[in-house]
Amino acid sequence: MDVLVPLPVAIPLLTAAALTAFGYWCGRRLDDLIAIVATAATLVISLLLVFRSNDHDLVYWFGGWKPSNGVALGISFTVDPGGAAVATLVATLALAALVFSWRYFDEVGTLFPVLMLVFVGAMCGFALAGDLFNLFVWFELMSVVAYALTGYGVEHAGPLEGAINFAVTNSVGSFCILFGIGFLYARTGALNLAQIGEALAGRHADGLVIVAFTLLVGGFMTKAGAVPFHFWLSDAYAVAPVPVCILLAGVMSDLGLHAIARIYWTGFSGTLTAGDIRPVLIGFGLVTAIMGGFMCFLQRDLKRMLAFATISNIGAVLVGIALLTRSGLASSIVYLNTNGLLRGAAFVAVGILVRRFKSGDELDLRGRGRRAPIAGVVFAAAGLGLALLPPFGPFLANALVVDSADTLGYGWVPPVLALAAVLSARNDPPRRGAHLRRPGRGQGSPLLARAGGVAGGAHRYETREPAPALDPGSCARARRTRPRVRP
Amino acid sequence: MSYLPFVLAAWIFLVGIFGIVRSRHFIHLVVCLSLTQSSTYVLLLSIGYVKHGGAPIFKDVPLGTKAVDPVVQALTLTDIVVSVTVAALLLALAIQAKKHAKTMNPDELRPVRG
Repeated sequence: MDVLVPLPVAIPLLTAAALTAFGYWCGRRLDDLIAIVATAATLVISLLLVFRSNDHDLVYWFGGWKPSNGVALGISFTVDPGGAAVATLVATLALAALVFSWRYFDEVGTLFPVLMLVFVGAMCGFALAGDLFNLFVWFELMSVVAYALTGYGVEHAGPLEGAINFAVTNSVGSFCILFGIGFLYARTGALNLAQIGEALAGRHADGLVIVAFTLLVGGFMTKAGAVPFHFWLSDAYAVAPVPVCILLAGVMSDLGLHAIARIYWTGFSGTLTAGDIRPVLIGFGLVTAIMGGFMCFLQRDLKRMLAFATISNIGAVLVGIALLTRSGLASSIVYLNTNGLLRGAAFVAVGILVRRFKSGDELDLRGRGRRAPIAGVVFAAAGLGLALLPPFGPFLANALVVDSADTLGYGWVPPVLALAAVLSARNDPPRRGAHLRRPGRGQGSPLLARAGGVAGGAHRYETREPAPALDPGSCARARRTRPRVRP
Repeated sequence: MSYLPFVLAAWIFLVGIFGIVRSRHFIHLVVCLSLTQSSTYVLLLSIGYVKHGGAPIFKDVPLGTKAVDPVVQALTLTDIVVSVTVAALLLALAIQAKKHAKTMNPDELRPVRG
């Protein structure tokens, strides 16, 4: 038994409890520092777990309540490399978010680091939990914290509305999950995923099992924001504070899909054949990818744009999982981790812009991005990564999807995904605006500029003209004569 | 085993969803959400129900006495805790909506979109 297994959950939760009790007397900087150290410790331990679980899954029974006679009464954490990698992603993004919030907020109560820590603990617990009901409890804990964090700026109508939408939709999704768990328990008498898998293996999948699977998948897809459950996601992510967005968009959505993959492979793979559910899940994934990409294409608010990019990426991950093959699963895990980091980076860049220029609107920001060159470069790099360009991880994931889809006779899937990626990766606004609409002839409609930007797809990145910033004179002129285009 | 509890759970769930969709007031919305959640209590408890079974307390009773399933009761309790947390949070948000946006109607809270 590995003592490290419960630590990614225990460290953040205990630190959060201690901060709640004593944080008031510590002062803001010390609170932040404690939270950062705790998250860093979580990161190191999750990383260790990835390497340790490489040979065989680590199973930790709380309180030493091991299963006897094939009945698991105790509660377990089951660590596979995929789950541990997701926990590492959670800790990495949380560390980035906490460091970022050091300068992002002018004032922030003790409760912010506490909520972030609870969020980290809950997400790690969700990634590692080995039994269905604990999965549900971690799911609820992370959801409740996420509602609170989304509505953190309570003095504005936007965050309130976003948080309430988020809470209501996700609660209904969680009821579906609970119904599914209830049905499964009624059929198998078990809550432990592995035991459920054993009880169902080799049996005919009857109505009850199919309904239970559908309810579970539907509930987790609500969390992931896959079509048709996507409408809450853009509202919530567009209004949450940027450090929170890093975690929400970077990893929380993907956790829902990770849960679907685990539930299928551990619980249902023995009874539901892949051929039955593959077309349905691939359909949902593709619609999500295209819809997200298309909506992303239409946005002008950077955060909302990234929210739709998240939905589009979710669709791509879902397609990887829906192939229900080993390489499909591998692709979804690579995709999930690399895309999470890229979206996190993009949100940090947007956060810098919002903080500096007090605006997240691409038309407002047109041309001003030159004063934040690093943010621009990061944003462009993240955009290139999301567009599946080779030096970044999503390229590898996509190659795996292409390979797997071809073998299965779904050769038409990858081109559709590529289209979705191109649509969703159009996020390079401050600079793109600058080179597409120069002062003087900048009265063209924004839609036209967008059409120009996207028609080239990834190609436009290569054909970009030399940056005018290289010539200080033209740069100053551009700034003076910047027309204020409003649609 | 009767189908009645399952039909009842589905009915409560659907009525709750209908209420949420039609809601024009935050308090009403929260109550509808709690109502929807109570359908899960009915379902879980009916799954663990054993005819003529007693409470699952095994002190001072002979071995083999019939009792209802304690696991689903634990699940229901956890579920209730979750429900209260969500309701409290949503009500807190509703108070903030009243204070800052001066409205209790979810439709009026919708900010103007670009």
